[in-house]
Amino acid sequence: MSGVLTQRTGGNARRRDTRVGESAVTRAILTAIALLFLAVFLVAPIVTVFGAAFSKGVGPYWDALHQDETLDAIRLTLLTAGIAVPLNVVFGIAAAWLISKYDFWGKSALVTLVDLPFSVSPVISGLIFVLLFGAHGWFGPYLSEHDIKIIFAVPGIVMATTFVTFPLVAREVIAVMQAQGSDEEEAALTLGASGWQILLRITLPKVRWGLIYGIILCNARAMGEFGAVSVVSGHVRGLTNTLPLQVEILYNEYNFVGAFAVASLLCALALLTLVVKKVAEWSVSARDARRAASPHAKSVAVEACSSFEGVVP
Amino acid sequence: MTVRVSNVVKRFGADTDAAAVNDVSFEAKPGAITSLLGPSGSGKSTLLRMIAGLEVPNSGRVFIDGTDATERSPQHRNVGFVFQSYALFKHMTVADNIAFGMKIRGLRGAAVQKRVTELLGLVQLPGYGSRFPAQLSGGQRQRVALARALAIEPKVLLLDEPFGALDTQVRLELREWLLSLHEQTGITTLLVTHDQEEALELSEHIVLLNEGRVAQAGSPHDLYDHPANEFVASFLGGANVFKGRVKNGAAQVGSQSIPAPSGAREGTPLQAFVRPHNIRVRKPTGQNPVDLGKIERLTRVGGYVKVYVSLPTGESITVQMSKTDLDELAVEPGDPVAVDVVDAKVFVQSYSI
Repeated sequence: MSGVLTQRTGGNARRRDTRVGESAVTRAILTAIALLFLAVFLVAPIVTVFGAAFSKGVGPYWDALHQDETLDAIRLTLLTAGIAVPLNVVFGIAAAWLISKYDFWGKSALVTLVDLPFSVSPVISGLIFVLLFGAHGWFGPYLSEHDIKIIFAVPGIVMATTFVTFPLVAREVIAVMQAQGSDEEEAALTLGASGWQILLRITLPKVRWGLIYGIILCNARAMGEFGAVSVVSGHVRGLTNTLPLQVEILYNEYNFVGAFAVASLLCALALLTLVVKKVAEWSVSARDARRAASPHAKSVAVEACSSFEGVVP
Repeated sequence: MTVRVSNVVKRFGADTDAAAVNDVSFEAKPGAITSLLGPSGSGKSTLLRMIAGLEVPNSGRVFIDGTDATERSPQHRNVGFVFQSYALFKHMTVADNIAFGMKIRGLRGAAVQKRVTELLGLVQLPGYGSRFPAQLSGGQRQRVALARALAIEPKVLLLDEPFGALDTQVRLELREWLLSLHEQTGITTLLVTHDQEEALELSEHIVLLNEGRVAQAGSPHDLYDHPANEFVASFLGGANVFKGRVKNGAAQVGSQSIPAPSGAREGTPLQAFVRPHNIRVRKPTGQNPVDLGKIERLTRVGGYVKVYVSLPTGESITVQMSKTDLDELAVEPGDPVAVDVVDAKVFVQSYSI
C-alpha cells in the first residue's frame, strides 16, 4: 500500500527518504502491488462505467441523461443531499461541541451511538423507518389519519439518508475538536467572548478542515446511498427515485447506456469530491506549511467510490 | 485592585474525594505580584482558574476589586489570563490575537490598531503583527499571550506557569522582562509557579500551597527565613534534615547544639532543617576522627559547588559553597572534614493519634 501512503502524506510535509524500511526491491514490489490493486479495483470499474456510458457516442449519452425520469432523479438526489447534509452539519457540530467540551452522564454511550449507522446494514436502517412510519408501523395509523406520507415518499428518503450519513460529519469534527483541546476557547472566554462568539470565531475556524472533509464525505454518501433509500423509496418513477435507484431500474430494463450514463454522473461526483478535497488541502497547506497544522489527509477516493457498492454493475 | 479568596474549596468528582483546593484563603495586594507556589498537585492552578472563573468552587467566595465575583462568568470578570500553553488563536495573526478582546468589546478601527501597535511595543515585538503564532518562538508566543491579556485592560493579571514550557535561558530573560513590564503597568498580578526561584525573585508576596492548603503565606523573606512548618522549610531552598530528640532543651545537630522550640518536652523527636549554604566545611583540627565527616562527592554547578558529605551517624548531607571557598579549602573526595552548622530550623514532630 506504499502508493497510497505516499499519496496521503504528499500534501503535507515532504517525507525524508529515511534509512528505516525496505530495500529498493521490496519497495518496488510493494508499489507494484499497490498500483495493481488500484488498477483492478478502482481504475478499471471507473473506466468501464465511462466506457459503457459513451459506448454509443455522446448523443445517446446526452439523451439518456435528458429523460424526464432521470432529471427527476437528479432533482430528488440534490434535494435529499441538500437537506441531509446541513442537518448532519448542525448535528455534527453540536455533538462534537457537547462531547469535547463537557463531561456528562452517558457521554461514552453517545460517542458509541454516533457510529451506529455505520455498524448497521443500510437495508436494516431503511427497515427501521418502515417499521416506525410504514402503514403497519408504530406511527402508521396516526400518519395515515392525518394524511402524512413518509414511507414511499420524499420525507422517508431524506430521513433514511440523514440517518445513514450522520456519523460522517460528527466523527470528523469530534476527532479534530478533541485533539485540539479547549485552551483557545478558555482564552477567548476570559477575553470576554460569549458562547456563540467562541463557536463562530474560534472553534469553527479551528476545526474547519475536519468539518469540510466531513461535509464532502457526507455529501458523497448522501447522493450515493442505495440500500436504505431503496427500502423506503418504493421506486415510484419520477417521484421517489434517486440516482442510484434510477441506475438499478435502467439496468434491469437492459438500458445499459442509460444505466451507465447515470452511473457516470455518480462517479463524476466522486471524482469531483476528490478534486475539491485536494484543492482544499492545497490551499491550506500553502498557508499551514509554516503553521505545523496538518490538514486531515485521508484518501477519499476509496471511501467515495465504496458508497456506490451494489450500484455500479 | 485586590483579589481576595476566602475559604475556597474545590473538589473534582465525588464529595468523598480529597479536595484539590481545601479551604484556602489569601489576599493579593493591589499593584503587586503575588505568587501561588507549590509542588504539582498542590492546587495552585485550580485556585487560579477559580479566580478567573474557569472553575467554580464548591464553596467559599472569590472577591475581585472588593466585589463578590464568585457567581460571575469568566466572560464578565475582566481578568487577563495567560496559559502555560499560550493558547494563542492559531488561525489568527498576532495583531488579530491581541485585538480579539477589544473587538469583542465592540471597539473597531484606528483605536484598536493604535492599541495593538502600542502593546506590540510594550512586549518588544514591534512589526510582528502580521505573523502567525506558529512563526514565533516560545518566548515570543508567551509575550503575545501577555499582550493579548493586557489588551482588555484587565483588573488583574493571572499567569499560569507562564514560563513553564520555555528553556532556562529564555525563562531567565522573560523573568527580568516581566518584572520591568510590571513596573510599567503596575497591574495586580497573580503568578502560579512550581519554580521557587521564580517566585522568590518575582513576587512581593508568596502563598505556598501544599495538598490543597496554604502551608504559609508571606514575603519571600518570611518564608525563606522563618518557615512555619517542615514542609515550608524543606520545599523552599532545599534542606538537609537531621533527626533527633530534644536533649537538655536543645537539639543536637551535627556537632552543634541548637535551642529547641520552647515548650518541647525532653525526649520528643525533632527534625532540624539546615540549608545547604548554612553549613561550613573545614579541615579537621586535631579532633577525634570518629566525629568527622567524609567527602563523598563534589559536583560543580557553574559558580558554586555541591559537596556531599557523609556523617559518622550514617546520614548524608549536601553543602553548598562557592568555587573560591572550595579552592581555598583544597579538599578531595575521601578527605575527612569537620562540619559546622551555621543556622538551623528545628521543628518538634507533632503527633496526631
